[in-house]
Amino acid sequence: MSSRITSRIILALNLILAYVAGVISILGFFTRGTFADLGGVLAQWVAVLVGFALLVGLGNLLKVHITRVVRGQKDWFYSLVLVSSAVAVLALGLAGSGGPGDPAVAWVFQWIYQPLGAALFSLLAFFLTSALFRLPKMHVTEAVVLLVVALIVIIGQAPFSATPPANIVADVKDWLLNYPVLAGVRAIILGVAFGAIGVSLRILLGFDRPYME
Amino acid sequence: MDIICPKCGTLNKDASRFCARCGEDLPHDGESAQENATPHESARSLDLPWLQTVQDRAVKQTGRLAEPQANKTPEPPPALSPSAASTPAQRQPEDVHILAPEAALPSSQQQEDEPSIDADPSKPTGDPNEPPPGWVLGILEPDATPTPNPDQPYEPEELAHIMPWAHPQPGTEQPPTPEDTTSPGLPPWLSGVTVQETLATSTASPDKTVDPIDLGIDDIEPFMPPEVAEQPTEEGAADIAPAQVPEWLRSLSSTRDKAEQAAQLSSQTNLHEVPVQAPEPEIVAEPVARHTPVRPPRAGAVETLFALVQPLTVDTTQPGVRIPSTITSLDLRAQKARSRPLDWLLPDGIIYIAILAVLLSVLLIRPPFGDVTAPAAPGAQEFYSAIKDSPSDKPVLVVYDWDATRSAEMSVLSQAVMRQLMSSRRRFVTISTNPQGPGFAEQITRNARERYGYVYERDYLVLGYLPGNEAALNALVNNFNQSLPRDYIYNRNVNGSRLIGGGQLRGIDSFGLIIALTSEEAELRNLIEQVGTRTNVPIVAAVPQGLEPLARPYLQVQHAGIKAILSGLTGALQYNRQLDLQYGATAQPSGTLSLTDRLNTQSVAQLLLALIILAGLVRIGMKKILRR
Repeated sequence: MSSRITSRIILALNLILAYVAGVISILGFFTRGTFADLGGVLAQWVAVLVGFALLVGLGNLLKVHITRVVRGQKDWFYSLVLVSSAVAVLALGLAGSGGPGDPAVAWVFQWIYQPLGAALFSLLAFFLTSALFRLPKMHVTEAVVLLVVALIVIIGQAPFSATPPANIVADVKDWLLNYPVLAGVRAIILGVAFGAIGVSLRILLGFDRPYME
Repeated sequence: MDIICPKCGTLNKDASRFCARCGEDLPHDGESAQENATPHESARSLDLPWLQTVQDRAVKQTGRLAEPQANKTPEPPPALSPSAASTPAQRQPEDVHILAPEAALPSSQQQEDEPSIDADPSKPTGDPNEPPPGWVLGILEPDATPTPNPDQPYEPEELAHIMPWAHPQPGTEQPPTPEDTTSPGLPPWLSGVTVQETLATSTASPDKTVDPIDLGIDDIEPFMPPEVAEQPTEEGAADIAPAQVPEWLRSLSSTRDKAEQAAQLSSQTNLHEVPVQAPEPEIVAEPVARHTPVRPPRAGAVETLFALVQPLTVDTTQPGVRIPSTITSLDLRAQKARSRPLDWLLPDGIIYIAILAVLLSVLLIRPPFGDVTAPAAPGAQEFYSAIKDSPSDKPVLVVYDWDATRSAEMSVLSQAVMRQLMSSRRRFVTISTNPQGPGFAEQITRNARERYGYVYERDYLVLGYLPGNEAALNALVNNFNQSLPRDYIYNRNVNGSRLIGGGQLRGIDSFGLIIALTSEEAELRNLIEQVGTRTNVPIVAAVPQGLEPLARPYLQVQHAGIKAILSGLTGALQYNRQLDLQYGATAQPSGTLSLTDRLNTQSVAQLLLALIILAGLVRIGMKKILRR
């Protein structure tokens, strides 16, 4: 019996906290003064929590991969590479006097991390191309529409589209982007906003309790 | 020589074991069927006591069974011990008919059947003559309600002795049989099935465990439906066709609807829990013929299957499926080796190689395409004007919110923005809500500051990463100084810097312009929602070309929108040309690709992509035409 009462009290406290924090944030957004200051304080707390969450995420990542290395599980070598690279960059930043702006860390970022990230993203071009080539196999009608529009946009955005006769394609591309695409994107953004409002109201009113999970 | 059924007198063939009309067991030992006909012989031969009683019920046997039972010996319970199929010659001296008081026997049936009532409590259970349990009778007669039979010949103690699983009596010494461990109400051979509820007759013992029970049916011959008589009987040929199934089994097919059967079963106390159902009505239904198309085996399927079931004797290092040496088909190996490169090349391999070849050739060879006439980028002019027209006495806030995946476009755009800011001697502060942003901010500003003589902390500041997305921007608007009190490069308090110190930067409104260098739509939206709606500071955005359609809805929105959008390498080229006109052309660092080279490569790649898309469309079109 006492455990039930305790759980109910805890639930009530959580609901109240969530409601109060949400109301303060909303009022602080639209007003100036006390609520704005309180909202700013809460936002700063969120920033601190997110920073700690990053640290917790890093710790968990290292723990998982170190465990995999120690136990010799599948793909342990890649885990070893990940752990060693993370520890190396961390050590460079801690050992150097400049922190994250240390020249060693900056060098690693500029000559190792940035090229790797750009290379991984550039693979998208190959996969996207082969996917576009295969797309008509699966859904013919939709694929044809998609490919025709893609063709127009690709040619219209190309640097050589300024020269005739490709400038006609560029004009068609501009019309497509300014009218149907813009209308669709605005509708999606509006829908997302309404959905976010609905979810926020549900959390404020206690129907959804993600903080209890 | 034909055999006359002892019960109904139907003439059956010599080889028949059961009567074609009534299902009665036919004698085969030369004895008169009428003399030796007993209602229990057929069931006794199968050593299924409950079946025997079922048979009695179906044919509505009259007369007491005590007379022939005088020569019978008691038999052990059929579920407990295997027993040979008894023949009429092996008459048991005592066959006991047992009636359960809770059995679902309507009084009419009981009166008609009048089973033998010779009861011997000392006899072991499982006597062949014992009546079937209630759940069997409930299947046969679902309408019957369990009514106590006032005429039952056995006492409760006798019933408990005979069928302990149905009538356990505390204190009564029960023979140690596996039935004790079974759920009450069920015969031992059904103890293994799931019973959802305990039967009403007795309380189940939680300690009872189900032991594997030998059903004793190894020696029992399977039921063979009687053969159709060649000569029609006196009753007519119509009686023969339905008589293929004995009457006692035909009654089971009366309830064809499974829902009705289940509902009726649920009315029985011992039945609705038992998932084992009565013989399905499909027994009398014609078999369903399904014509399933059988695909012929593929070439090499037999060899592959053989290889899979054979132990691998050859340790090969080849990837994929290992073919053991027991496979003598060399064609299989050669075929597998030959098909690989072709499968890989078509069509992905060719596409990848084509793209790579084109890009590398343009980048390495640098064909003389000449000066690129980039398409009109009206956003570039507005972007340039927005920076130029911002108050020169106020610093500019530059938001670095892009990551390494977009560095190809965003680095060019960021360098162009830094070029204009530094060329016009504008002070600026950089922040990031992306963890990678401060690294790029420090890198680009470090590369450009020496050319323009910019001094850190005096002319510009890199404030670092602000975690929390919307909350971080909200906190930035509310209290700018406390959100990022330390800089990114030297980790020093920014309040002591010349750029911020002295109250020059009190908040977000102290900035003259906000330049958003973002690679994701969410980051741009957060900036507009949290900052643009709460300040009067104008915002301009430089985004990748793929993000432009998502950024356009925010363009020219009053009070909270974006003043200008600069996108992609094309926009960067136009923007740089504008800067060249204003501040003069800058020398290209050696070893790096110029913007023109990049755009040439992009043009060729886009052409190739367009050709591939056209090829896909043509391919589909040709397929459709050829089909027609």
